[in-house]
Amino acid sequence: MYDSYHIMKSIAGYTGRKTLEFINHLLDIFAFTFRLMELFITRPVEGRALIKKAVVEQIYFTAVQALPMIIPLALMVGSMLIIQFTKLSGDFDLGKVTVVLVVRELGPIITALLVILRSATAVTIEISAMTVFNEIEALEMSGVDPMRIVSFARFVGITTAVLCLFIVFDIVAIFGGYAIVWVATDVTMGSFLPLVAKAITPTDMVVGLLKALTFGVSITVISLYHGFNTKKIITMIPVSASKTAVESFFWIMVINIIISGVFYL
Amino acid sequence: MTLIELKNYVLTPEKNGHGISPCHLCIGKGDIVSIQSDSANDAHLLFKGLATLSYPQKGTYVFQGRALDFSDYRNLLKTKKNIGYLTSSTTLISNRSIRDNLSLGNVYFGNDLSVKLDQETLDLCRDFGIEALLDERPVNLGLADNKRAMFIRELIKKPRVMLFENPEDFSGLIYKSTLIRVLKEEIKAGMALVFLTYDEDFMNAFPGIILEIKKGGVSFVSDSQTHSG
Repeated sequence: MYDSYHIMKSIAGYTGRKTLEFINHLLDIFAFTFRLMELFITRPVEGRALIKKAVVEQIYFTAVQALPMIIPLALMVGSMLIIQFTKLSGDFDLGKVTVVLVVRELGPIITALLVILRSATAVTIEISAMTVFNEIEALEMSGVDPMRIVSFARFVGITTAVLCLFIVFDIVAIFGGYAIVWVATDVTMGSFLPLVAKAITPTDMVVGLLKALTFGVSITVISLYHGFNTKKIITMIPVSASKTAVESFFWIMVINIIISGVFYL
Repeated sequence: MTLIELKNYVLTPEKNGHGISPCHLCIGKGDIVSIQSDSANDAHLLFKGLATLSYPQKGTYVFQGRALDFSDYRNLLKTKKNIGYLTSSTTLISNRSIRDNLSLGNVYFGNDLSVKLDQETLDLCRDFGIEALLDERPVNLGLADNKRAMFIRELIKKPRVMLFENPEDFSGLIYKSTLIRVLKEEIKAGMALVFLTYDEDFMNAFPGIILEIKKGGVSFVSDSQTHSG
């Protein structure tokens, strides 16, 4: 009796502690997001030129350098889906299914996944290293606000990059996938493109873009947050990168379900 | 004129050490303060405290007559800009060239990406032997070169006070006399110097008030001017 009482007590204690830690972590993330959003409103004059340069560099690193990866990926996904659903076109509307899968679901998710793997982990590692090796302190001692020069530029750059990559992915997956199937196979697709055009609605486009935008924001906030919160021990850098990857993926799945639920249920 | 005044200031230890127990100290314009400590960690903590990088557990930090507000790091950035900070934890920004590191402040506050290093900075780079290394990134240079670049970066900020931990590490043997000369010129112009050294040349070059840290307690043990311990 005594033992079971203590076991129950420790389970309850553990659950309570973990719940509080989780809530605290969420509040920290929201506070960090608020601090970043605040910079859109306050818009201090100092450092604008440097920030603009950093935003362009970040878009280049995250979007332009990812094109050789996202284009083949989109072609593979697009052609594979078209082949599979052409076989089932007797049962399903080919255009509708393609829109549902590519524009609404796979486009934003695959784009976000690529950005998490390529850029979010890199950003966390970079900022963690800056934290561990006192480079953030060095910026502060120069009177420079690290939130503006390091975080804000990456926040704007990566979010914009995710949006751009999502648009590229959708276009390449649908048109490129169609072209590959048309050139390389003898599968009969009928009037695939008109079917897609007929199936796609403004809501689909809004949902796709909204998902890409919210994914971009959450990926950047999580990667920056873990970068700045790395303990000043070098072995904590990979731990932070790992947390960024796992947490970003988890939250984009949660956001994906919420947005899909709000618009389509 | 009082530059820095700490009132009932307490700093908690970050690693080992005693921390800084309630202390009152004043540093004036052009003062030279030599720190002697029984613990390197405590001395480093005091440097961080004076640089506003370590926040006080309690007490007031008055910089140029204005009490600092530690509730938001952004309130401290203007003060930090007026403090030269050269310690074992000082670094350069690793993904920028030495030139970018040296011009960062001017580019940021001037909002002009085309800002070039002025003649005074270039002269300093020449005097300290890093003129040919300006377009290299810190990772491609030796520690000694990077340390001299850090010194130049802090000096061109035109700080009101220079916090200098082990200056001998920043000058090496070759540039020791140059560093002493440059520092003396700045002190003459009104910059205060707070330093900790184990090098006799530096001790002899900068005789001043001795600030002793013993088991976390801070006191002036010799003063040529009026200072409270």
